[in-house]
Amino acid sequence: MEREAIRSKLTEIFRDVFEKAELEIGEATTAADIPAWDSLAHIHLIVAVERGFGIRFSSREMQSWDHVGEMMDCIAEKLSQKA
Amino acid sequence: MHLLDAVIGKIAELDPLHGKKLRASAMMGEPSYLADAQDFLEQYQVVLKGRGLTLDHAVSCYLQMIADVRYESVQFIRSGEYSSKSFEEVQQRVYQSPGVMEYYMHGLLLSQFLWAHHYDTLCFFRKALHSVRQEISGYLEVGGGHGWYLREATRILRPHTDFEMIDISPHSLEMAERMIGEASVRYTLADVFSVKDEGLRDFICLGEVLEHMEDPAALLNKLSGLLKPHGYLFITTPTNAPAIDHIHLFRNCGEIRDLLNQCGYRVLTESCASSEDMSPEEADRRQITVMYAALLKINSE
Repeated sequence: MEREAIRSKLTEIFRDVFEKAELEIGEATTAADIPAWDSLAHIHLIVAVERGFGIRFSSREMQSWDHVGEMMDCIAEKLSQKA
Repeated sequence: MHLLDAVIGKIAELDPLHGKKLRASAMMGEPSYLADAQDFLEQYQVVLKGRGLTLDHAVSCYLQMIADVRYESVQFIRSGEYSSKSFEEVQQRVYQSPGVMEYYMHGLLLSQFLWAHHYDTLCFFRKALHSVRQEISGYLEVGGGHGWYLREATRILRPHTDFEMIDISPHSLEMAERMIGEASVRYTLADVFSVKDEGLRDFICLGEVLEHMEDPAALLNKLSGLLKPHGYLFITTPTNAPAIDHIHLFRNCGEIRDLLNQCGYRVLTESCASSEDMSPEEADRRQITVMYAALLKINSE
């Protein structure tokens, strides 16, 4: 999956989890940019991303993202392993 | 600088998502809480210093526990169940592992003052114990963990009260002894099911233990046998709280009340504290943790 396609799909997932239809995310987006993105929302976001992309994250991976770009890196790597 | 600011600042630096949650907590604006947290952290700092450690060690332990909780929470949403299924499994994974116990106990201790539902429950415990202190000459803590509840009890109950803590983890007993300091307490490394002296206890505290059991009813029945006929049992146990060592899943507070009733207990007073900013009923519906606590008596009717 192309990086832009990952970002586009991830945007839909973020909009769904945070219930904000206009939400836009970019590679540099962090939790500081989205008020509702706290530790509880993060757990629901992880599960939604896993289900949306058909992948599973490890405990270490879940702790390692500082911004959306790093999450996208991880998703891309998982998808390439599946292919 | 307030020690709480320093601790939360360090947590936010290392785990911004979690720091955000802590800073948003309503209790952060309450003067009585802030004074209590400062007092706790000052005392905790002294205990840590005795081991050549600082509050940075506690923060590091706490964040390891948070990482575990985060992973277990994802597993819980995936499966609808706790990941650990048997006591033996948890015994190997946690209780008999000094490294895990070290970070887990310090992490849990810090959570008593950082998580609103843990702090509310601690306050409820203090109030409940104060309400019956004149009747208590013997206090037993079962599965005392880090020992902070027992420490509080030694300060609330009357002089010459007999204190005992029973735990299956040597690490917990050592930590509790350090936390409690000079107060006279018997520390017993044992499984409570092996205790024989029945009908002698005025007050038993069972803080966050039932969820660690394969059969919580068996433990509640055992404890009713250890209590005096008019003795008190104080329990806390969470609903929907995935953790590395939780086995029995209570899905709502009603399930806990039903179990207590089935085991012959009467609730004198209770507390339900949600881990998020929502009612306990809403939290139950969304499978979010609620800490249930109750002061109980054996139902004599």
